[in-house]
Amino acid sequence: MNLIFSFISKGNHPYIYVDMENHTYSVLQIDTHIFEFLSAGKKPIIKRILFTEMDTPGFYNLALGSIIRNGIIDYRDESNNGDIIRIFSTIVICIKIFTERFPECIIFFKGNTEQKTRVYNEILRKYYIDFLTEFAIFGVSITDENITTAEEFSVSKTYSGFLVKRKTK
Amino acid sequence: MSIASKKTAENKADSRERSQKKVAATDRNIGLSEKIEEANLLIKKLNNPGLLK
Repeated sequence: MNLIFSFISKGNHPYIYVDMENHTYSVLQIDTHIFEFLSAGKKPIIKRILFTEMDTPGFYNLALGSIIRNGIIDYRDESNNGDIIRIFSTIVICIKIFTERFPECIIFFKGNTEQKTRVYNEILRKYYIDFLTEFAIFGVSITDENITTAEEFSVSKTYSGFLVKRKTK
Repeated sequence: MSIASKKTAENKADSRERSQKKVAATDRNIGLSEKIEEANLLIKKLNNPGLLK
């Protein structure tokens, strides 16, 4: 209970997304690039989603971490909290909020383990039609010659990472 | 509320706001730089960036 309270009462934030239908977790926007939510799976874990501008202009890396202690965020974490689909849906909400502010940006994300990347592939295969109404999705593959290539997301393929861009209205 | 206590409350609020702003800057991010480095390498090696425009 204390954990939930401290999470909600962290201060004056510009954006709080509350999902009334419980498809996602409620999200607190800490600043333009940082979001936090409480993963209520097997155990309560405060998760952070961080968008970081990459060396290539216009590209942002999306990283998901767990706040393990105040001010310490572990981005290697494999919490396996049993709520991956709800977490992924929450990531989508954060992408929506972030790209409302930065509509031209391209977001890159991948799982921090092969297993998580595989799960992201499975979830995207299942839900990408919903996602396509607002976003263009590209799958990223690495060839045997160590070349990275992107292509429009295909349900029949498994990708090493993903690129997402808001569709222009 | 007296002027002095009002001033103290304002100062506390300012201080709280300043410390909140510092949070992101002072966070210890484990594994983040490796993740970003890996992502940067992948994107730099992208052979068809034009597809994303």
